[in-house]
Amino acid sequence: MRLVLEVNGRSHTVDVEPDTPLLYVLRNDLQLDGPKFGCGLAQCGACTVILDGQAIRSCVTRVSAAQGHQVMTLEALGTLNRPHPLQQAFIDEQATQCGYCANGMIMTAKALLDKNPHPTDAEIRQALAGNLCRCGTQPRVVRAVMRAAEMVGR
Amino acid sequence: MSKKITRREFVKDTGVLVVSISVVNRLPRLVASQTAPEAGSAILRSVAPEELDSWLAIAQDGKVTLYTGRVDIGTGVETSYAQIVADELDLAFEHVKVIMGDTGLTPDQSKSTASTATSMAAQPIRIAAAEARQVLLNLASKHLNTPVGELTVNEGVISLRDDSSKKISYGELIGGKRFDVKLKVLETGMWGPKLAGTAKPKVPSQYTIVGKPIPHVDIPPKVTGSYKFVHDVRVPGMLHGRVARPPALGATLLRVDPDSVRHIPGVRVVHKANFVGVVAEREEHAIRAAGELRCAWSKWSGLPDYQDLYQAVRTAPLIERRSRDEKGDVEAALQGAVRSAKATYHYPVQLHGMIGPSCAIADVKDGGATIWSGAQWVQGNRYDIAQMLGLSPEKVRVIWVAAAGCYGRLSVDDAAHDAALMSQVVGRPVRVQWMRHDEHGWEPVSTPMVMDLLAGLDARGNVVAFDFEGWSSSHSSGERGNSVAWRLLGTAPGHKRLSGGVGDHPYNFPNRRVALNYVQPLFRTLYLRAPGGLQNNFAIESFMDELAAAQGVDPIDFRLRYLEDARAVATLKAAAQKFGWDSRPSPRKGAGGSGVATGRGVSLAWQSIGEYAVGQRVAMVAEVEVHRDTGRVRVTRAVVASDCGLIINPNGLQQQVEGAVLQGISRVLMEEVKFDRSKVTSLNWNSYPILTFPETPEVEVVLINRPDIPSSGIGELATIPTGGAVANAIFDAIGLRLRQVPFTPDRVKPTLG
Repeated sequence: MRLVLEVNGRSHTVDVEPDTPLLYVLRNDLQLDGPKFGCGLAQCGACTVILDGQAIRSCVTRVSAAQGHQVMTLEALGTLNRPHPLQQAFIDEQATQCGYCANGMIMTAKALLDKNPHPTDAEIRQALAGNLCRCGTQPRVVRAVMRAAEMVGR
Repeated sequence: MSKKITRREFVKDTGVLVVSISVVNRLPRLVASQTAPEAGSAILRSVAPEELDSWLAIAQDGKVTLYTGRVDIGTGVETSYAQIVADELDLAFEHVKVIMGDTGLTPDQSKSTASTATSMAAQPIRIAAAEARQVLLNLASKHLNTPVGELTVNEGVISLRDDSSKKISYGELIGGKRFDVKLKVLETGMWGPKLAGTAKPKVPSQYTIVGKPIPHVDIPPKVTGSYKFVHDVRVPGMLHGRVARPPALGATLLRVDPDSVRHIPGVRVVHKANFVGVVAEREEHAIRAAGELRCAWSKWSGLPDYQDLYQAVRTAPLIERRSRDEKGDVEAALQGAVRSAKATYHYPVQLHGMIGPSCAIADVKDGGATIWSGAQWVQGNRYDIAQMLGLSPEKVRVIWVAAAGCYGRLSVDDAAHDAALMSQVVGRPVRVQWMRHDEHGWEPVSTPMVMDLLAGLDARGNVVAFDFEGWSSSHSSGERGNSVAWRLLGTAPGHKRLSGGVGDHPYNFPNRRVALNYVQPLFRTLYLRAPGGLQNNFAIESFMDELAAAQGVDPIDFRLRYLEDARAVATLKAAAQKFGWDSRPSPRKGAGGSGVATGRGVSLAWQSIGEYAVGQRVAMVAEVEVHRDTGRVRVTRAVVASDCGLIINPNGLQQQVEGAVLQGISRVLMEEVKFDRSKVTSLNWNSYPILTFPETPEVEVVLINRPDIPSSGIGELATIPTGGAVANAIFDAIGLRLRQVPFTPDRVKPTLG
């Protein structure tokens, strides 16, 4: 089935079954490797993308449900040379180790800051409560989100 | 002067961010200046440890590439290695590139485990870099017609000390050419080669880059989505594979019905002995097919009964009893003791729990194989896969591309074995990514452990005998020769190395004995960060606390009575001071009350000289809240002091300490694998929860730098004190002793009574 997806401001036509998880289409058809497969069960957050401003789990979202909506992946935030304030804050705080969960942390934080530009420590932790990190970077991630909020707020 | 570029630009320019296509395209350029490889060989440049050229290459632009067999599993060693090379060679940090873990390009440095990256594995890197500097100085001496003693080096440019206009760069001297210099291999042991050269490496007082908190080079690409994980590798013509796993760990295949998945486009069933997999052009089709493929399996129920796990560990057939550091006569001292104390501690089965599941790509053709793998041990997997497939190891190349943080799990890359097996059958490259239930249900777990502690005391309460006796299987039965695919083929040779360590401790009791009984494995096991260390230390440090409490002595004062090691004493005191330790016995006054109780506990981890390095010390003070109504325990503060010798990169070290402590807290508070007689039943993050953001405490770290003592790693050791510190803090809070991990509400609440 042919579907039209709006991803990172560009239109893409893909030919896939409508119940295919969005994650596989983003990664395998559009070669957007920012979102990662972690659990396929919406339990860890590694696959997080933003759909019309909401952080969603692309591993359990049918690709057909993304039709007609704006999908944003990590690739749309910034680049090595021009990182987004959140990405810069993660660099400044050295807020990742293996880096596999970083996509989910940053995209979830992006959706949070877009709605709540000055979150408290508790609000950040609550927003990230469903994002798992096995390396133990959580305190640095919280600091990075705080730092990004300050950078954007200035 | 060469134009100074940032490391970020350098990384971008040189395409070190590995993807399949760029790997293939990049190779001819990398090997252009090297000797021609033997036809058909998967070894593409010199990798012999005695060749300086195996370790270092200098390009015409003067940039230096280090080739190391070690890999960076998220600990930051790529950055540390670049610091070491830049320092020894007087280079700008940004001009050093590190190629890691490619059996076709890098010397064999064994496995990236056991916190040996900055100790054992840095040794040959430092020696090679120092030797290269000397060779370059000698070349420059001839070129500039000046004795070496009158030369100086600055950022890869050698000049006369008195006249900096007379100069020549490394690139001009040797760029693109070979050193052709031999090094001496002193030993090739379990942790890779140890080298000697004719040059003297720098002494710590000469370091200008080592010791600096240089930001990790892999973080900018990781947070911008440009870093390539093994999950992101794509090879032309690649199929997606999944394994249809049996419903019981040891079941055998009775029947497979390929017709059951004919309706799914492009699916092919791969069936060999008990191995059943599927490949498809599209990933979602392979996933569906693996789920819908009808197979009939035999029954199997070879796991122990969950309720009797620890009895099963204690009574499993003994392989070998090992003891160390025996001193005095424990039996006689116990006989003569006025009082004795004893306690038994239990530690459960736990998961490495990679956030990204196992994933690898294999291309098996023309009698050889190329494997893209996140393995911590590229050579081990290369030899194993070659043997499993019946290929010559010379024709198998394993290329490391980072996986998710793996903490020991990827010493065996099961997905690489799956992919290789299927690629050999179907004749096309195959990518296998495990599903979450595969990873939780089939990963090589950490072994359960039972530990008996016994102490004899004299009339004044002094400990005169201390006896530790543990039961455990090896933490390495899955390390080699035992991948899931190989086991399903029925030809796996198995692995007999006994690992996990005996319950060593730094306390100087007049009579002491530590022994571990290695029993037959109940599970396929693989070392999980600080294997045996966290378990043993939980028992020993809890028991020390019990002895202190029985005498009404402050837990730190009690430990200091038996500590002679100055580094251990300093580390313990540093943690106590940072925490603001109030000297008093545990439990605190009012521990028997109601509501939320708080407490603090201490623990000391120690690694003796000799095993992997010169030893490390880590002390931790944990503060907890125990909710009496629910039995819930929360760690509210974690203060850690670490001494691991010379610090290479305080930024990386601090990250490792924080991460190790938080992972340890997660393990002791929450983690336990559940199973029935046939299989693991903790198959996702709901049934195997780990620490989340709202539960995570701040970690306060004190780094003690000892430039006079060679570096040791910390990623494991900082995990070790968490069990004792948290258990002791719970005891301090509520006056009750927990001797079994994890300290979950269902365990705490019945204890609260």
